[in-house]
Amino acid sequence: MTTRSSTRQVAAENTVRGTLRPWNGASAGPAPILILDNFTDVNGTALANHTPDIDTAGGGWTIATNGLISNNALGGNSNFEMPLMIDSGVADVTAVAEFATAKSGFGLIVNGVDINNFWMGVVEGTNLRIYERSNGSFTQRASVNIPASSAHTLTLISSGDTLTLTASHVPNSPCAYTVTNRPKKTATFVGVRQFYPAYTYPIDNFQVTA
Amino acid sequence: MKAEILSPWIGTGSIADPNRPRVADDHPLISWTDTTGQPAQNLTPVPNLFVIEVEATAALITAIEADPNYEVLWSE
Repeated sequence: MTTRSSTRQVAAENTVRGTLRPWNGASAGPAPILILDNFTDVNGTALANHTPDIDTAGGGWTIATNGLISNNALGGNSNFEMPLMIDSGVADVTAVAEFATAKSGFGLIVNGVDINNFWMGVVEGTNLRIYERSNGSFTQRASVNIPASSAHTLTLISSGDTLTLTASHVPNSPCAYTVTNRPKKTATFVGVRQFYPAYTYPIDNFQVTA
Repeated sequence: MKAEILSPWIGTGSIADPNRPRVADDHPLISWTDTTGQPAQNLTPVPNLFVIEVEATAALITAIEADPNYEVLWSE
């Protein structure tokens, strides 16, 4: 009897533990991962046909023209200025990715609406820069001079009216921009941006948390 | 040093020639951020002026003060 009772108790506990409950923000702990993509897939797989490791909103890479998987990282063809985006379902996010190049123009996208409207944080030469892309036009909003690095991890945080961009090799030199009623701040597409044929300059380990 | 500077915009909005503060092209700032926040659809404004907060060496702030193209509003 004791054994049967214990078995029922364990089974009941497992049922509770096995039930995914919506995160309500009440408990301290790691931020929930909205998107995780290590780009593990067959060489040449189109990004639009690739399934991220975690995709909470479930839509996949819907803005993915010319994005390709290469050597289990995100590559691309010879298309220049290529934003690649996925819907995170959340506007205030922390986006992180690894970049294996010091080439200009690679970076992260948050608060994206479409291919012509988003915010991006990029490395350009020896500068971290925050850009607004609005109706197809690019506007620099902030810039910080940093040392060059051949490989780095970028972190772009969207928090209401403020954007903060940080490179891993200079964590104490963030590039930040704040404006009241920041345009597009409720938009939920996130992603990466590459500016050269990225077979040579892969992007990897893209993660977005709330 | 930190300062706020009145600068014109420069650029066409293309990726090769983005909208940006002209003073950052002319002087090697350590960092800058747009404090005016003019909506992108209104660029370039008339008159063509906006304010950025910058970090730069004292010598560079002095050089910008001497440059007739720009106005240093304050520095510390």
